[in-house]
Amino acid sequence: MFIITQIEDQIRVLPQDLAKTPVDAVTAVIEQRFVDKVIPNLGHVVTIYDVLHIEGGFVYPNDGAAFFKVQFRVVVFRPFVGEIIVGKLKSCSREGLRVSLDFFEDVLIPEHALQDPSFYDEAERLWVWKFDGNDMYMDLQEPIRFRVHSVKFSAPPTPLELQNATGDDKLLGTAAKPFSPMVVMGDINGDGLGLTTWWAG
Amino acid sequence: MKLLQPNAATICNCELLQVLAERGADGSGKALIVERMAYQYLASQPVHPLSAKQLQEFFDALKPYNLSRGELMQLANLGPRSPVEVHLLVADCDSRLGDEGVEAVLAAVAQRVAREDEAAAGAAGDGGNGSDANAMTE
Repeated sequence: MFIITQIEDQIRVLPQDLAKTPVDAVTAVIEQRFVDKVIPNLGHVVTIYDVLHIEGGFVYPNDGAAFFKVQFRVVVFRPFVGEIIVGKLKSCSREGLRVSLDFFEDVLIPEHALQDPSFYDEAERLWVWKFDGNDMYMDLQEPIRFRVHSVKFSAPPTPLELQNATGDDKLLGTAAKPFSPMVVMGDINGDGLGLTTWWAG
Repeated sequence: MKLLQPNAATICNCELLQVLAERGADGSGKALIVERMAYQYLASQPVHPLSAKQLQEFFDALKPYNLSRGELMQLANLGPRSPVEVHLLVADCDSRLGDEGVEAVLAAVAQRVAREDEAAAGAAGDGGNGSDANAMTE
């Protein structure tokens, strides 16, 4: 689920932070710039692992800040295809399920990837799996085991794309259609997948 | 920004739990929100937080079964308790492990990795009663 990535970057430390040790100052800037952000085609950075190497500290003309060339490692959330993960069912909609791993909320299970045969119950607004005549409701906040089908990265829309967008895409980036840079598509169509209570005991 | 080694290593959930605890995500220091949420998620899984030595012992116990790194990592992360879950994690389970292999894997996991947390203990302790209660409320 998690991998360690080694990165090298120019880290700019503000003059007021130069009283701190280089490691502390650089760590603070790395936290702001990298942690909780998605690196395209890599994954969601969860935390800093360690700082390997700091060099530099030069101050350039017209800028009072010091620039360090830093090599450091970060822990990245990047599930591989076929991995089994347990999350919490956050919401159900006609399009499918939304699963939350507390630190990562963009896991979608589209309706065609649910156990066969599953139906959307309009009254309860929940998905139901009809198994052997039993109605297995997919209640919210239940732990759910799913398999990773794919990990999709999308670049944020440029102003030109937004201008030329039609229909629903015009709302991309607003609360009506939030933009997620990293989306994990899952599936629960298989033995052992779905709510953990279905297969427990 | 240069990605020197995009895939330097894989890290198990228990190892990440230690890293986050050192960063103060367990409440002992100031940690960022995503670190605290990741700690909360990992701590809520029904598996023991193994130390590096215990993790290595667990992997050594499963050495004769020739499982791939991804499979070993998933076993340590998820702590399967039933054959169904082992079949999910290990590809081609019937030909590679067979029934005795699955039993051995489950035994190793039960001994070292899996942990009863109160919710799971309640449901497992009740056994049939637990699932009946669910059916009744529906």
